[in-house]
Amino acid sequence: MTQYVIKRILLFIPTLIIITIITFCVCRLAPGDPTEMKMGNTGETQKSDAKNQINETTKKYYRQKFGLDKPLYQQYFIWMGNMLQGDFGNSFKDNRPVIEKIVERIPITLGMNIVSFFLIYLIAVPIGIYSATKQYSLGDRVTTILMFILYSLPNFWLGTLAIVFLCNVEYIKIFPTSGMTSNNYDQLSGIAKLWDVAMHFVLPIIVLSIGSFAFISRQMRSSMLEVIRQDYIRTARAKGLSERKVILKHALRNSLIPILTLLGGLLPAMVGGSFIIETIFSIPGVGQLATQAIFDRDYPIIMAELFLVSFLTVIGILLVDILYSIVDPRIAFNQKSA
Amino acid sequence: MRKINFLIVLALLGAITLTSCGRKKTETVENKNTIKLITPLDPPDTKDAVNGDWVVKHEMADAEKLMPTVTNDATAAEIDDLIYDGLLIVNRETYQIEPLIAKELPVISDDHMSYTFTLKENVTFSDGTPLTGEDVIFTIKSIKIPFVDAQALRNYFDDVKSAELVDGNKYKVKINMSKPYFKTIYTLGETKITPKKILDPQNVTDKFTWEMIAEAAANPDPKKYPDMGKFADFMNSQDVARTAKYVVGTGPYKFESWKTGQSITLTRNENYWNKANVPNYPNKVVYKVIQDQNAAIVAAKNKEVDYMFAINPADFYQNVTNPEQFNLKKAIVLEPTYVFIAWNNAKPLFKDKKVRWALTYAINRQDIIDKILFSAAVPIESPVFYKSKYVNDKLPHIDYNLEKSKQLLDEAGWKDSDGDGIRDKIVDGKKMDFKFTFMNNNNPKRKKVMLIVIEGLKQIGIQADLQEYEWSVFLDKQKKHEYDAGYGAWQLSVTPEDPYQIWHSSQAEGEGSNYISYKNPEADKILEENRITFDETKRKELLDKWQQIIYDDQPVTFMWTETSRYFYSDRFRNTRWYAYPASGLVNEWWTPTAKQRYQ
Repeated sequence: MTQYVIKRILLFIPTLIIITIITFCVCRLAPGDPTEMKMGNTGETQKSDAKNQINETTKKYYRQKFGLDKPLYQQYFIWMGNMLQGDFGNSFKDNRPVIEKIVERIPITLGMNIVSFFLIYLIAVPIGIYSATKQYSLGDRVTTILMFILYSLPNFWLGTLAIVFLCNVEYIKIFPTSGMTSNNYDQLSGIAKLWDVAMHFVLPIIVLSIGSFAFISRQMRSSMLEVIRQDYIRTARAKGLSERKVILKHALRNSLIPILTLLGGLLPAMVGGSFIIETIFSIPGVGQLATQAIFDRDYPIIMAELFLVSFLTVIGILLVDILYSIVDPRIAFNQKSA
Repeated sequence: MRKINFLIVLALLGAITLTSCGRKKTETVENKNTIKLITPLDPPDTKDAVNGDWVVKHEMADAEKLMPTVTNDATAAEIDDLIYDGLLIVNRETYQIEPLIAKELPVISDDHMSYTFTLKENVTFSDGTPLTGEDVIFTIKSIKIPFVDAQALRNYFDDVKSAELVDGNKYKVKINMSKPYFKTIYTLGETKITPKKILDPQNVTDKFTWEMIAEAAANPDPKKYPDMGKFADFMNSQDVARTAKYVVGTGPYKFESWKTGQSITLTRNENYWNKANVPNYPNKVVYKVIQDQNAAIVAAKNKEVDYMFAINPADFYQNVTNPEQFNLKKAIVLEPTYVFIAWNNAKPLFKDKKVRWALTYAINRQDIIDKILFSAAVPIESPVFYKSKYVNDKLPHIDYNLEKSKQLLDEAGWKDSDGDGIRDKIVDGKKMDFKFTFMNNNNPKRKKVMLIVIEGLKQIGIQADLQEYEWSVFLDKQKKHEYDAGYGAWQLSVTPEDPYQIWHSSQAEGEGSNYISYKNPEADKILEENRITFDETKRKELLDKWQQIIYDDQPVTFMWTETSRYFYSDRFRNTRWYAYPASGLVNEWWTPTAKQRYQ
């Protein structure tokens, strides 16, 4: 087992390197110039006076300062070298260290995703089991249709809808529109502060979860259906075990395996999903940071964020493999010689 | 039977006449509406004014840095207006430049090469330190040092050679220029003064002579100037840009806190030196970031924000029809901007003046204004703000006229020779169709406008497509002149305009803003002269002549001056709407005690 994990970790290194090379190249070769953005050319209406002029010397100076004057491969090695020492560079835009900008925001995104993660499994798995055991019942049909509807709704649309209808004095006002706290947050007492933050996060977390939620419950249903057709389930039933025991003790464990596979991809996918959700709900997480960085061609931030997401993906896959062995002892890591 | 036919014809005729009459009528009425729509500048309402309450203003993006020397984003510039003062200020009603920190307007040498400012002696920073000429010199120096991220501001200071105290008098500063330029007084006057005691307590900048700075600027290599580099690193650091310790000015408000990506809060500067003239009624001003337009509008309805700007016309006119219901008011302000359709003059299609005139004739501007902008815009014929005294108002309005358009295209040799419905011409021995692509930046409003223009051009045998680009790609293409045509908008100022940056031939190459590649030696000469003209009558003459040339050449089709749209809470009083800059000045707003919402 330990040997397997080490082997897998070693395998990550080339995977991550390849990912960084590709993202680095895509990032640099895309049109758009960070020195241009440095001039504040971000508004819809450009200013008519000299303000947006940047002379060649200044431009050259910034290209040099940012290391953009070097050949691409050199830039990559410099980035890699610094990264290995834990230095992701400074943001082109405001000179703040990238690590600091990300560390400041990551608890928000991660917190949101972890809550959403538990929510998804907590609700989706039981629904999946219910649908599978009551196949073709009215309940199953209703949940099936409902899940398909939820699955097909794009979350940016759902987010906007939620804001317009659930946060609006014109319709129903339950939640605050955006951000993490109300205007008078600093003047609230301890409990009220907690409540204020919680209310701000309800909608984003629900919207973030809905797509995956439907997806997982569907997967759970089909995997459960497959398992309960197996012989050993029939045997268990023949032994006279209660239906409850059959399903929850014998079938559940095996039907969880495919769901675990999805777990590996879910975390990075959700972090990706929070790019949009955070922008719509104005939540200052890493997703919002990344979206802005892409528009600004702020390479150090884009690279750090892409690295983070690929790292999460790779870790997710590793976790899945380890969990596999726990859930299903048939999967062996060490080839034992007979 | 005959009778019936006759009646039908009569009815039809009547209907046509009526509709055409009616149409004419509505057009004029709508034009009048546009003017009426614009929120007038109310007289001051400060009787019984009380302090207190907050103003929560919506921002679309977070600021980057609040230190004005190194700031180049719009959000920060607006916030800095409340934290810092300049030597002079442009009066928001008369647009004349007036003294602020300076006692009076500067004494300008006859050759316009030096400006001597005498400062008021009672001006203090919010921490209580007095402002002196040393702070002015320090501010200019920190802008000129090439390693400081002041690149946006530094371009303005290219001509500043040096600054010094006059006879060691701490309240008298002389600024020397390397060449005369009529906008220098605005540049020097409006620059926000930063405190030397706080940003350079060790007086490091005293060691950098003006010659040294100029040398470093010519060849910016931080290794050669380690001290300057170190000072620049400090100025560029996040501490200086984001902490209340360093963001200190002489303005009516003080920087209090910054919640990254969420909000920036200012509190009233109780020690404000200029209280008698510039009020600061609200206790706090909160700039709240909401990126999503829909969310921001809902937030305004919910009273989560008190003041909102940059609202889509559709949201403004259709989504919120009765703002009173949400305790909101609307303001529509005519701001100095103009919108145009850019024709890349370097492209063979648009080289001929006749073609460009034909294109202008083929665009029904009033129709687009009515359809897309809810009539809230004014068609224009010149790039000078139409309310400015420098606008040439003798330029005849160009009406929508397809017949003239077709005739001009025929004259220019663009005829549909192969009968495919698209005009063509032999250019350089090759047959060329009149087909091109409009460039847009993913802005839905602009897209709607261009789709109507494209429809119009179809009727005169021109085929145009639309290609959308992300903003930075759009800018890149524009800068490299890699486009045929596109939607453009320039923001002007209320002070005398210098069109050089956009219209001079020299700016069509390299990094200039003459993106349309417009070149006219006669126009160039006028623009050059304008830059060194200090007499207002003479400038008016020059600019009138120049506008006539631009009008005749039609390098772009001037579309309209648009209005800006605002929502604000009805609990505020003394809400005055200026054209420029920053339409509502929140420091002037006050709330009657009974209506105050925040403590």
